Amino acid sequence: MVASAGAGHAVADELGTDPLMRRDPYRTNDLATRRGSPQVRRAPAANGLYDVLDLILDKGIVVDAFVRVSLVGIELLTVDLRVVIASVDTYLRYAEGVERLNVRGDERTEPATLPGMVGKGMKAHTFSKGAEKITHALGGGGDDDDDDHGDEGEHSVAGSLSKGVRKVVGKLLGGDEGEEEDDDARARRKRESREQERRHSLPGRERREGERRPPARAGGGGRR
Amino acid sequence: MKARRSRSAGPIDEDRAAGGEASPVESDAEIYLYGIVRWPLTGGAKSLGAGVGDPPGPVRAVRAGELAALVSDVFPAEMEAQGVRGMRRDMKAHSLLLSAVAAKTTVLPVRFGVVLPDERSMVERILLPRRVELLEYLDHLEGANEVTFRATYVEQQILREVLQARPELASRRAPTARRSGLSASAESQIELGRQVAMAIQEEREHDANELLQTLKPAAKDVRIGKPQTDLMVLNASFLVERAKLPAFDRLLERINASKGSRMTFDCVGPLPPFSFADLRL
Repeated sequence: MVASAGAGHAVADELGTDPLMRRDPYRTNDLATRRGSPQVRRAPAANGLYDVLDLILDKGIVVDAFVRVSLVGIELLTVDLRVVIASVDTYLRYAEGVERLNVRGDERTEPATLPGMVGKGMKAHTFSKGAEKITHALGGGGDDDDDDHGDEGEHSVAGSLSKGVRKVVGKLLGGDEGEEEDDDARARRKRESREQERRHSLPGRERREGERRPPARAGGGGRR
Repeated sequence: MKARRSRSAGPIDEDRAAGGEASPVESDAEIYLYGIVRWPLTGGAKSLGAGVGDPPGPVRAVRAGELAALVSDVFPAEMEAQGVRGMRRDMKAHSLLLSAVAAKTTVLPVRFGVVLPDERSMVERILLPRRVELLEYLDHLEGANEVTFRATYVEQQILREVLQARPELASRRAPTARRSGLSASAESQIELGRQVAMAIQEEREHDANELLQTLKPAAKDVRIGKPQTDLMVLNASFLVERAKLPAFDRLLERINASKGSRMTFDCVGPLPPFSFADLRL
């Protein structure tokens, strides 16, 4: 499970490094040489959670007979929350992609790069895009200029999805840990006031027995 | 932070010694379970690195005979109080640790978020009574890892194919398109779309089967999941022995060459065999 260094870097240039997802030399080479191909997609590996989220939450040995399955409260991991968790990966990739673009007020210079880099990650995103495009196609839209159109669509859908997700975050999250990843920090500041009110409305926490209720928090970012 | 629970039993001495770690016993520490491996573990447990929590607890082995559970101390109350960020960090730690172990040896990965009160319950309630079953699973997974595979139709292409294969649908399309915007056309639009969806479904069954038959020879086992989007053809996990990975990749190549114009492929691995550790304890 050790990626050969050269190929690993080639892939990393575009997708970020991730010890979790390193391929065998064979596959890494393979994908590195073909990464321009739209067909075979190397799953987004940067930060790694998207690819394994469903596996670590839905698969694997379950120990439920007597064990206190508590840690973070599996019952909290509703579909919405998964979208939130997965979307943070997407945000991070956006942030990364934006940094690399080196944009100075002219984001149209490389229109294809950003979606190419970040657009592969989210199921929900893919799904919305699919839904939008199928509507478009069935509504009698021509087959020409699909590519251009697709790119535009990805931008806007991703944008609105992000907004939607932020709202969900605002609703769901009690946690406001002082970590230092900027894109989140910004979103967090915006929703801070909302969180104050909603902190106790986390679905699932209610269901837990009183003794498992987390202690009152010491305010935003104060735990570290 | 209140202590919610004190350890009812001290750590089992010989197990802790075998694990090679002497972590302090905290009154409210419980143990977080990552996976189950055969013991002895190549390289020992010390080399496994850090686990969940902040700061991350060192991972150690809790042994019982030829089995060992990989665990680290956690403070559930503390972890619960953290939000999504902490959750993400812990999920990453969980999957990173298991990936690292899977690179070295065969591991039965445990679902994220399992916490046991203490080592004694780990041994007495899981490792000893379920020993035979666990060993059977380890045998089945021996030397193999999971590779996930998802194939998704290229939308424009599959729509085109469907229309070509069913001229009656194509002919219905034109008038509908011209009348676009009228509410009267909504019903026929829906009906057209429904028929397209049915046609895609037929294609999907055929294609999914073909993909499966192509990849199966290089895999030891397979689990098929639900398609995650309306255009997904196949969402499957393959159990692939390390020695067979190159063969599996060649089959992927072949699939890509023959179907790359109509589908995109998303293939991740090798991963710990989560999908094949379908055991409830």
